[in-house]
Amino acid sequence: MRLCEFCEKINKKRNVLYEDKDIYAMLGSRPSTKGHIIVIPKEHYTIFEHVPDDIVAKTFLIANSFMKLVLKKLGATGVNLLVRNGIAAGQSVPHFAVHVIPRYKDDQFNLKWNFKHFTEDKMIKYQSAIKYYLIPKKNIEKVRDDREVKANYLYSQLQRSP
Amino acid sequence: MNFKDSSFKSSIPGNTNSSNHNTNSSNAYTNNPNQNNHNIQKPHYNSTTNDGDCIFCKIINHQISVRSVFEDDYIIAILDINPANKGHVLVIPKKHYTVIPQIDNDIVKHIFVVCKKISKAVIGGLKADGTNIYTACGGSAGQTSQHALIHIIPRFKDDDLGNFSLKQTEISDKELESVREMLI
Repeated sequence: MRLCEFCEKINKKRNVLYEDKDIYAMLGSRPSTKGHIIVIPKEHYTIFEHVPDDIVAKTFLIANSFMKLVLKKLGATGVNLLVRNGIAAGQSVPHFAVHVIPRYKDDQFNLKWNFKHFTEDKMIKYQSAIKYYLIPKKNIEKVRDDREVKANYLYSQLQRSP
Repeated sequence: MNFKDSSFKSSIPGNTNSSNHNTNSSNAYTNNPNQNNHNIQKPHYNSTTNDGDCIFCKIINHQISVRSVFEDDYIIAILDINPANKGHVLVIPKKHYTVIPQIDNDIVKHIFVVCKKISKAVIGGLKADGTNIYTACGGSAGQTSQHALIHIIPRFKDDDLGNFSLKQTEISDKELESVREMLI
C-alpha cells in the first residue's frame, strides 16, 4: 500500500526538527514563507475529529513552542498557526497537520478575508446549531426546561430526530 | 484536566487577590469595598486585563452581550460579528493574553481540545465541508485584536476563502538545511 505523503516523510526523516513517540515536526519542503513548519501526529489521522484529545493537546503544545522559536530564531515579526481540516478547507495531504507559518514584513503573503454579513435571525440559527450540537445527548433533557430553548426552532427539530 | 500553573490561580473565579486588578477597569466593583454593591450581580468570571480597554475582556466579564456557543471556567467561544463564513467561531481564553505563545501550557492544551469539539459541532451542526483553525500572532501576521484568540472558520465547497490553500514556493535543499540549522 502506498503511504501518504506525510507518513512517507516520517519514515524518511526528511527535514526533521522534532520527534518523539507521538509527534513529528518538520520543515515544509514547499514553504509558504521562510521557516514554514508542519507539526503532525505520527499516527495517520485523516481529519482533526479523528485525533484523540491527548494527541491534539500534544500537537498544539509543540506547535506553540515552535511559534515562540520562529519569533526568536528566525527574526519573524509575526506567526500564523493554521489547520486545514477537510478538502474544502484546503487540506492537500490526507494527514492531520498543524502549520506554523512565520511572517515577515512585506512578505507578500495574505491570509485575510472579507467580512460577510448575516441577518440577526441567521446568526441565531448558526449559534443554536453549534451550541446544541455541543451539548451531550444525556443533558438534553435538562435543556428542555430552558425557556430560551423551548422557543427555538432548531431545538424542536433536534427533539424530533431519534 | 489538571491546572497546576500558579500564575493561573489569580484568574480563577472567586479569587480577587490578583495584584494586577485595575480599579478603573471593568473589575472596579469587585475591588471597591466602600461601595454598596450588594445588588449588583457579580460576573461569574473576572478577566485580568492590564488596561481595561480590551473588548474581549469586556465580553468575558459579560459587559458586552455576544452570541456564545460554549463557555467553561477557562475559555469562552462566541460567534464572530465579522464572520468570514457562516458560523465563524472565536475561541477566547478568559485570562488576558496578548498573543498565543504567552498562554500557559495547560490552557493551550485545553483550548485546542475544545477547538476540536467545536470544529466537530460546526461540521455537524452547520453541515460544513471542513474547517480552518487559524490564529494570528503579531500585526504582520494579521492580528487585529489585543487579546489572543483562535478562529474556527467553517468551510464550504466553492466558498471564497481560497487564501487558506497556502501559496507554495520552491526552495532548494541547501536553503532548507540552513533554516533547519537556525531552528535546532
